[in-house]
Amino acid sequence: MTSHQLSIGSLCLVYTLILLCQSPLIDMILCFNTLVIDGMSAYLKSLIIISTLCIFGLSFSYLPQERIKAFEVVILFLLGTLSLMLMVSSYDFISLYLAIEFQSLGFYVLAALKRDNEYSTEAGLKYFVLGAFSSGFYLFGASLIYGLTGTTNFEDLSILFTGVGPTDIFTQGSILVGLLFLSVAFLFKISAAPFHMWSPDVYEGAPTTVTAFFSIAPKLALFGVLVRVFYLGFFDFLFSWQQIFFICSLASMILGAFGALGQLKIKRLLAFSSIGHVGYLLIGLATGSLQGLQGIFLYLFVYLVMTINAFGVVLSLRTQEGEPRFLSDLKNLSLVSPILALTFSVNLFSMAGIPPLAGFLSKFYLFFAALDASLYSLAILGVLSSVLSCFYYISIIKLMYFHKADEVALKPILPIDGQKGLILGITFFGLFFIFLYPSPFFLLSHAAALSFS
Amino acid sequence: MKLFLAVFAALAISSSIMVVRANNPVYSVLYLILVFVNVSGILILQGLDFFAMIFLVVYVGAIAVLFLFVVMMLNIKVEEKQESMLRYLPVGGGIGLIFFFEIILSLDKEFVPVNPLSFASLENDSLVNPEYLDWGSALTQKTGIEAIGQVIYTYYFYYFFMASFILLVAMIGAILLTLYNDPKVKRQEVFEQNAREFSRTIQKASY
Repeated sequence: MTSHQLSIGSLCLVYTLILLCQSPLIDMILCFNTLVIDGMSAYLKSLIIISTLCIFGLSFSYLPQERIKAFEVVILFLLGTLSLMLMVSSYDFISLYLAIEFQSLGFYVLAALKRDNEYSTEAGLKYFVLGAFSSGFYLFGASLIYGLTGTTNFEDLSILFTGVGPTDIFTQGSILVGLLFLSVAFLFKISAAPFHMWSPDVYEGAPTTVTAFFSIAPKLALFGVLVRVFYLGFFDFLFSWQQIFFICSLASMILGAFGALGQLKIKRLLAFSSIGHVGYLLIGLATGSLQGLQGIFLYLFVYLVMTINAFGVVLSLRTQEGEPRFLSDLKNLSLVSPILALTFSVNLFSMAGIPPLAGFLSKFYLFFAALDASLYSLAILGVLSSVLSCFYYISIIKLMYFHKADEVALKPILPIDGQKGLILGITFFGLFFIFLYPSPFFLLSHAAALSFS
Repeated sequence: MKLFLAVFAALAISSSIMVVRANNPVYSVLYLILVFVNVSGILILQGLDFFAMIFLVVYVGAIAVLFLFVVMMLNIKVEEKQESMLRYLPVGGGIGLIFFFEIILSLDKEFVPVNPLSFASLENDSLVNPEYLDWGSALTQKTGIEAIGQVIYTYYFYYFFMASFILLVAMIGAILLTLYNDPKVKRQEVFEQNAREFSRTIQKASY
C-alpha cells in the first residue's frame, strides 16, 4: 500500500526536478519581492529534490517493516520538500519565517511518527519545543532589524547598509544584536555546536528514514538561507558576523569529534558526525568569499552523497530481530555481508577525509578557502579535528573487520531490496567519481556561488 | 497616552514574571491571560484596533482557554521550586543582565526612521541622500481592517497562501498523530448510509 504512494511521490519529485531543470526563469524576483529565483536556489532545490528522492527509495522496505501504514507520511515528506524549496527561495524575513514554520510543523509530526514508541514521541516533543524556541529567536531578531531599518526585504537591507562601514559603531552595535538573534536561530536549526543538544536525541528517536531526511534536506535549505541572509542582506557587517560563525564552526568541529567518541548507538554517532560536518560547512560561511561559497555548495553535495550512503547501510543492517541500534551490532559485518562492510568503510573513509574519495576533495576545498581568507587558525584546527574524527570513524571499521568471529553469534541480515541497492550503488560510485572527475561539480557549485558575486 | 503605555507595559511584564513564578499552573495560565489583555491594550494605543481584538479572540478565547482545560485535566501537582530558582540565578541572571543591557543599548540609540542612518557625513551629495517621501501624510486615513483587506489579497497574497499551507500541514499532522485505526471503532460508511432505504431499515419480524 505505502509502496504505491512512495512511487507516486517519487514520480512527483522527478517531474518537479525536470520542471526545475527546464525552467525558463533564471534570475527573477517573484510575488512582490517575496521570492527569488537564482543560480543558488536552482542548485540547492535540485539537491533537496534528489535527497528526498533518495529518502523515498530507502523507505520502500523500511516503512512496511516498521508497520508505518499511514499514507500521510508521503504527503508530509512532499510538503516538507516544498517548504524547504520555498525557504531557499525566500527573499524577505516574513516569507522566510512562514517557510520555516511550514517546514518545522511537518517535521515535528514526522519525528513523532511512531507514536507508540517512547523514543519517537520524545523526539517529536523535544524537536517541537526547541524548534519553537529558535523560531522565537528568529522573530525577535527579525523584528529588531525591522524596527531599526523599516524593511524586511533582503535586497532593500543590502542597499540600505551599503554606506555603513565598520566605523559606524552605534548602527553596527544595535544591528548586531538583531543579527546575533538571527544567527542563533539558524544555528539552532542546523544544530551547530553550542546549540546542538537536541539533535542526537531527535535523530535517535525519529524513524530512521526520517532521521536521514532530517540530517540532509533541512541543512541544504538552511545553508542556502544563511548564505542569502548574510551574503546578500548583511554583507556589510561581514567582520561582525564572521566572528559568530568562526566560534560556532570551531565549537561544532571539536564537539562533533569529541562527542562522537563516547557514543554507543549508531544513530547518535551519525548525529554527532553531522554536527562535525556542519562545523566544516560553517568554515565556508565564515570566509565571506566567493570561494568559500563554492566550497559550501560542493561540500553540501558531497555531504548529501555520503549521508545517504551511510543511512542506506544502516537501514540495510536489519536482521530478523529488528533494527540494529548499537554500534556493537556492526561487529563481524565483514563476515555477514562483505559488500555492505566494504561500502560502509569506504564511506567512513570519505567522511573522515582520506584522499582518493569525495570527502577529501570537499574538505580540501573548504580549508583552502579558509586559508585564502586568512582564517589560518580555523583551517589548522579544522584539519586537526578532522584527524580526531578519523579516530572514531576508523574504530567503526575496526569493529566491522577486526573482531573475533566467535565473540558474537552471526545474525544474517534481511535481503536488501532493489531501490535501496540502487541508491547504495550510485552513492558508492559517486564517492569515487566526484574525486576522480570533479569538474562538473566544480562548475555547478561555481555557477551557484556566482549568483552572489 | 504615555501613562497608559507605561501602565500596560508594567502590568504585562510583571504578570509575565508571575507566569513563570506562580507555583500553581492554573494561576500561571490566568496570569498569561492577563499578559495578553495588557498587550492588546498596548496594541490599541498603537491604533491597531483590529489586531487587538484578534489578539484577544485568538489568544485568550482559544489558546489560553485550551491551556486552562489541559492544565486542569492533567491535574499537575503543585511543584516545589523555591530552591531550584536560586540555584540557576547566578548564570541565568548574568545572561539576563547582558541581554537586558544589549537591548537597552539598541533601544536608546537607533529606533528612529531611516534618515539619520550614517548618511549625515554625506549630506550634500544628493545621489546618496535621496529625498524621502512622508508616506504618512500622502496616504488617506484608513481603518485597520480596510488596510489589511486591501493588501492581503494583493501584495501579500503569498503570505496568506503560505499561512493556509501551514494550517493544512497542522491539520494533517494532528489527524496523523491522533487518529487510531482501531477495528472496534464504529465509523461512518457514507455510501452505505446514503444508499439505505427507509422502508427496509426496520422490518417486522415474522415467525
